[in-house]
Amino acid sequence: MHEEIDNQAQPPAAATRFLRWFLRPDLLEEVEGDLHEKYMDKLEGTTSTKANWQYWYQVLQYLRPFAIRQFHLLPKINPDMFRSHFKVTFRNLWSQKFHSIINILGLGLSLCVVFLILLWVRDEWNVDKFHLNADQLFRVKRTIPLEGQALDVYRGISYPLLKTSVEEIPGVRAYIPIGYSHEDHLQVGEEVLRTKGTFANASYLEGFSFPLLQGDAKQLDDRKDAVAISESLALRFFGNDWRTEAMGSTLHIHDNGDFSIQAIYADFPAGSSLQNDFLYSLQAHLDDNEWLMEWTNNGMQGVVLLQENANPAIVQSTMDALFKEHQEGDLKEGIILQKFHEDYLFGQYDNKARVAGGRIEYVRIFVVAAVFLLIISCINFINLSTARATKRAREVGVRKTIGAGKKSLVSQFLIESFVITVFAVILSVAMTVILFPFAESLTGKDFAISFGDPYLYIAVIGITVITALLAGFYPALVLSNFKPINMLSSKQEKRGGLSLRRGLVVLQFVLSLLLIVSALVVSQQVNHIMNAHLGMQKENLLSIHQDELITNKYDVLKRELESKESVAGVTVAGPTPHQMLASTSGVNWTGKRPDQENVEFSILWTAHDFPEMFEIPMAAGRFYRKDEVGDTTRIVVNEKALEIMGLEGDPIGQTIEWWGDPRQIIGVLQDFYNQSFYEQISPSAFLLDPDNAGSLFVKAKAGQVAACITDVKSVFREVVPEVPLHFTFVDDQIQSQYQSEIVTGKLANLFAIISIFVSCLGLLGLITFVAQQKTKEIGIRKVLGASLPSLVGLLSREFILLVLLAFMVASPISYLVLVQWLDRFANHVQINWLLLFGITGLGAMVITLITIGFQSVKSALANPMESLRTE
Amino acid sequence: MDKMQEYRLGEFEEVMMLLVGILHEEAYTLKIEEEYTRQTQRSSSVGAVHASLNRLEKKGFLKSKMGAPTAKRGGRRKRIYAVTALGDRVLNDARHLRLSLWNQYPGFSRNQLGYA
Repeated sequence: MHEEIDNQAQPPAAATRFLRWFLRPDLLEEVEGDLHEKYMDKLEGTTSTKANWQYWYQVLQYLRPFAIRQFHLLPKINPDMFRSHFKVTFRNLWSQKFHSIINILGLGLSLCVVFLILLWVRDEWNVDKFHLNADQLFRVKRTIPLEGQALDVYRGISYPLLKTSVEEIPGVRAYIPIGYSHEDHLQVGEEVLRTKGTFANASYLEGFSFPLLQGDAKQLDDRKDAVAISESLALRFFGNDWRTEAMGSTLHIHDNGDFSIQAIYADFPAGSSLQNDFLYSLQAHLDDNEWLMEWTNNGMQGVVLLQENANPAIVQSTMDALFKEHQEGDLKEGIILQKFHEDYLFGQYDNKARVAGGRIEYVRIFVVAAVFLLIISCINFINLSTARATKRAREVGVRKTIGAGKKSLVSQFLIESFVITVFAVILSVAMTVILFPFAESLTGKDFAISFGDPYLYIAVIGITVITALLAGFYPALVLSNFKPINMLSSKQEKRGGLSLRRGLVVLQFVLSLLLIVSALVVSQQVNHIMNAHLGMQKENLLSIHQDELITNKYDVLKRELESKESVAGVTVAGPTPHQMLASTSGVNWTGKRPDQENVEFSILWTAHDFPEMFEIPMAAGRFYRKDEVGDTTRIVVNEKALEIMGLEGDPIGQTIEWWGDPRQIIGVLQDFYNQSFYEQISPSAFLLDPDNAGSLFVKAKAGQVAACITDVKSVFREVVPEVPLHFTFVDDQIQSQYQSEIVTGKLANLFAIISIFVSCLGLLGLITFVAQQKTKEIGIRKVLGASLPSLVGLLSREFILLVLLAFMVASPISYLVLVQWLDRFANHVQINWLLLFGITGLGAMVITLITIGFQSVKSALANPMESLRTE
Repeated sequence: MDKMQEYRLGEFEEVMMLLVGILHEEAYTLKIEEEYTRQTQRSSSVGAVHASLNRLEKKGFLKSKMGAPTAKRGGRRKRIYAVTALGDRVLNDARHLRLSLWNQYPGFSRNQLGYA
């Protein structure tokens, strides 16, 4: 058996095929002969496998310049033909101005949007990746076991855990606390500025890559009164002399006291999710907030910097164990680590504590929208080109008769598509540059884009080539395939690719309709969030940060303010009623189940007049009374809390345990939205403690906001002149909480408008063409007595049917996708889908009719004499 | 001297030319490659030898014609190379250059090198 094979053995066929493919044809005989001979020689001395390997080796050794035949990736470029192709291209563009403009405009507009999205995506993608230690920086997150195996993930962690991890866990180089960046009043000498900052340790500047310009980051660890400031803040305070003046100067941070400037760092780059103009000593913050030193308190956020060879999984489990050692009870909280830069785009978890998304979803949505737009405009191009094919058919016929090869024709049409794409790209780049600032303000972020970035140029060139090929390839193929005999002799011109064109029009409108329906739903949801009744009043409310000075003079302030005509009321509450960030699990009640051990109660510290100011009705019982002394040891909860506790009988008067002390429930407030719309309303407790609430709220009478602001200013100047007044409106705060949703809403609308515009451009091109083609048919029909409506119908029927079909395809798809999207909001708008689709369908139909109606009426009205005479 | 530069052969090229001369009627690519491997103990490949032969033929130092087909070659013909007159001269030049250099090299006399 073996013998036989050996006798008839042939070198590996694939190798020979490969050789034949790349070798110069004139060398083929001798080379194949030599290699064959060598193979046969080899076979005699060794196994066929070895001979095969050796044959392959020899074949590959022929991959040398002298032996490789010429390859024509593109048809061989003959300069004269090339010039001729260009000439014909420009003549065609010029003679078909209308089509050319539609093509270039549609493509340019879409490409502009695509470029802007690419810039934005690149920007988002690079956030926080600039840190030199990016792969060793891990955010520490806490998991909380809930009822039934579920896990919640929080950024808040215990400070002692962070601190101890460096000492006890091998592989942890440093810990970096991440404080909440808050705006504060800063003062140097007489000058007062307001900007953002937080507390930090030395590792904050050294572990992250925030380069120092002057001073020593270590001072932040060594001196409690040390502060580091950014270059731009130094410039603002000390002018151009900051290099010599700033270091060692005293910086007063309102509410925090005097600090000495011990370091100046370069401004954080735009691609950083952290943005701070000043960083004061962590120790100062800890001294003011001693509760942070407890293992059970999770009021800190932080990052650990690992050694380069450390295994994050091992560090995570060690840290998890360390954290659990310091907890009591059965349901212990855990620790997970996530790369610091991933936190920005992938910050959300599912109920198994697996990464479930986050901002990346917006990135995905926009990329999909950009691809849709690009496809829509490429379809325009394909449709217009193949539709015009009949016009070009004679040209193709003549060229072929004279001897043009298929390749030459393909290159002619590809060149046309390239020229159009290049025009479109130039147009779109110009638009992109013009619209860039607009895009920045729309998305509310500074793009960290440098125009020297090679990625930009690669992207632009890549998109140009892809678009040109995508749009030009099919038409080029169709056109070059025409048989000259048909083109030149018979008048019965074959209409190439009609059904494909129909399919593409349907696809185009499906995509447009998807974008439109999505835009409508997204903006409805955004409006819903903005206008939803939160269960509390949010209009005309000024919020002012409550510091010690305000607390001390609160009674005077309140009296003075309430005496003003424009002021409806004054109260304090904190942190914020619409986003109750503080929470605790230190609540006990009779009948608390073991799996409810970690139920978190949100906390609001407030004053007795909170419910009336925010117009939140009581569900049962009463709120705190002004001069009722015992009230500070009583408690008010919300309906949700009552539901979770499931107390038997009338809750009013029952006692629960709050932070170890018994407290009597005196009232139940109706539920209002105290969390983001992605989350459920949380069980909450309202504690009477006006001195430590956090924010002062002044409510203006309706229509008197301006007067109220003036009054607030004058009262503050009078009563607490030392306090630099800064206020925000509660409804603005809520709005900024949903910035991403608002931006998505705006952009979705923009995309929808552009997509329907581009699709209609394509439709307009097609109907114009069809009308031209049917000129004679219409003429004859008119002579035979056809009515105007029947002629218009003849022209537009097909398109209307196509749009209808697209509508039928798009509706179920968009329904499925959008229902899913809405489900992510715990509180989402109720969509009347029938009405929505009705409006969209009708709207699309009307726009289609307007687009094609004009042209079809024009053709139908034309004098048949004119059309029949043309031959 | 300028003219010399055009004619200068690389070491590998020189060996190729010599082998073509030595193998005579059997001087086709595969044989040359085998002979090269056998005599120098260095490994090469058919492709590499072919590239060099091709270059030398382009320069006019070698000429070639197609030979007879054999069964072992799957019925394909071979290309047989021969040294041209120009090639001969270039080889000679190379030899002279080398000899003259060796003669100037201290410690080596004509006799020691085994030349008459």
